Amino acid sequence: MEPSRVADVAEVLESARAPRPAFDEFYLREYPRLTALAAALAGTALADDVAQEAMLVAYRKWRHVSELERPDLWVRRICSNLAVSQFRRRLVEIRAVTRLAARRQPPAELGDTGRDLWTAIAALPERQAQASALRFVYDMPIAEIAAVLGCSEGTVKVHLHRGRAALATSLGLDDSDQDGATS
Amino acid sequence: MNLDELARQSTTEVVDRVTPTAGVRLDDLKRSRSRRRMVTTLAATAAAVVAVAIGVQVVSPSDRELGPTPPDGEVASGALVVLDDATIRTASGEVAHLPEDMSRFSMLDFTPDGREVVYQNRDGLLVAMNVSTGEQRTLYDCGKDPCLADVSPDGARLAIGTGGGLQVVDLATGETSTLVDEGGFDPQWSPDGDAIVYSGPGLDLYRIGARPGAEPTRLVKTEGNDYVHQARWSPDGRAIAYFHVDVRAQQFIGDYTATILPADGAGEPQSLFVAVRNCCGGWTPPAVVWTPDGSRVLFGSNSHPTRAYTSDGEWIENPGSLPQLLGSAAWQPLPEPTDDE
Repeated sequence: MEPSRVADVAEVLESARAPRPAFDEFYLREYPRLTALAAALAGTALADDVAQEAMLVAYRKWRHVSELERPDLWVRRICSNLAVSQFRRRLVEIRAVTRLAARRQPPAELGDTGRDLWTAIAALPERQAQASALRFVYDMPIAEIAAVLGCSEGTVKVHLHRGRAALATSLGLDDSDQDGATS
Repeated sequence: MNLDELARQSTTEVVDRVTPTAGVRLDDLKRSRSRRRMVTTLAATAAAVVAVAIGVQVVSPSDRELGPTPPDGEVASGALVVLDDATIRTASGEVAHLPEDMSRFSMLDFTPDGREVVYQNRDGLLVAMNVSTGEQRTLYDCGKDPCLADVSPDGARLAIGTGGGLQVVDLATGETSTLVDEGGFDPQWSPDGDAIVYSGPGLDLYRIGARPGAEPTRLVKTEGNDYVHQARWSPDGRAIAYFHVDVRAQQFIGDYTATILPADGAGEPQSLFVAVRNCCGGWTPPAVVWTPDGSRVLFGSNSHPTRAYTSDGEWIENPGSLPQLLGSAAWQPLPEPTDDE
């Protein structure tokens, strides 16, 4: 069989098997805030690529992911790990470089207001950054953050406490924990 | 404003900007997934056919971990090094980890003595890092602009392209000369150090003398949204190899055609083969690199094994084992032994 025919057959078989409508709904619901999570951890210039890469993983494994109790937490874990991992970010970054080089106009920034905040979060130690980003972007309870990061609730509280203190110092902001973020 | 209020406001801002385009990005994702799967299938099929039919050794990822392999021993010194997603494979075959502070905009470039790799860190500094010891020295502060740089053949100057302009920095004095104010990305020195090629306005290919006041010459004019990617000068200075990107349906997604051009601009570009189709919405773009002796130029591809051509554009059908060239690649000069060694 010619190579192109092999690819065509694979396409058709895959399309017939995949439960696409459910994924579409999931994507449209989850993607915008996932981009905010990526912006917090990888910077605004890469946010779109990182979020899309996480969604691509979910898409490839959707038959499995869709059966999970919380597919949203699963993809947030993928995104947060991807955003802080030097190893896995390289592919995303090189693609971003190519697109940057290819653009005739500068890439649009995702947000002006929070640029300093996202930069400050990205500069935190890895786990503090992940815990803080999940808390800020999703207003996520401690238990869910622990589930996403795969650690204890006590550990999450420590990360959040230290992260808040560092952010407040670097941004010159009030460190009062109005939302009970670390409790 | 306290931290929680700032976080809420910032998150809302991002979500508001992204939400209207989520449907478009979903379509992008499906196209990207489709392309990746097709390329994987085609590459596996083609590799199997080639390996069986003509006995070419296809280098697997696990094989590549053993280190780079110069083609057929024809290269007098140095070794091919590929910057992949996490590591730099050095001339000795060792794997050096990327610096922790490497920015997303770095591409692979060595100092002429082969001892240091030059990259941009997250603070915007261009840094030369000794690949053996990890020792670093700062070359230039690019600020927050992403900049791609190339060290001159004599190691004394640095060409810097930020997209907004093209500068040359004297590394001894720090004196900076602006060659062009508009355009200027991915600069590459000529082997004699007298000229630079770069992506200029419209991402066409330009050549300019490496001195203030020199006038740029457009070597390649592209049509529509087409552009030139990774132009690399041959070691003898006579030719420039690059990918001509033919953009079709989607902006900046197109076919990468391996191309060779006479460096003096006197002849027509010679198209060699389509290295990648519909690149690169979902995968790493291919790289191009010359061997140090200039006898051949290597083009990466997602759908073929890496191909080798002579500087005249003649395809070398059995080039030996070559690594897959994706992302960024360079030939690391073998460092001269020091007195201590």
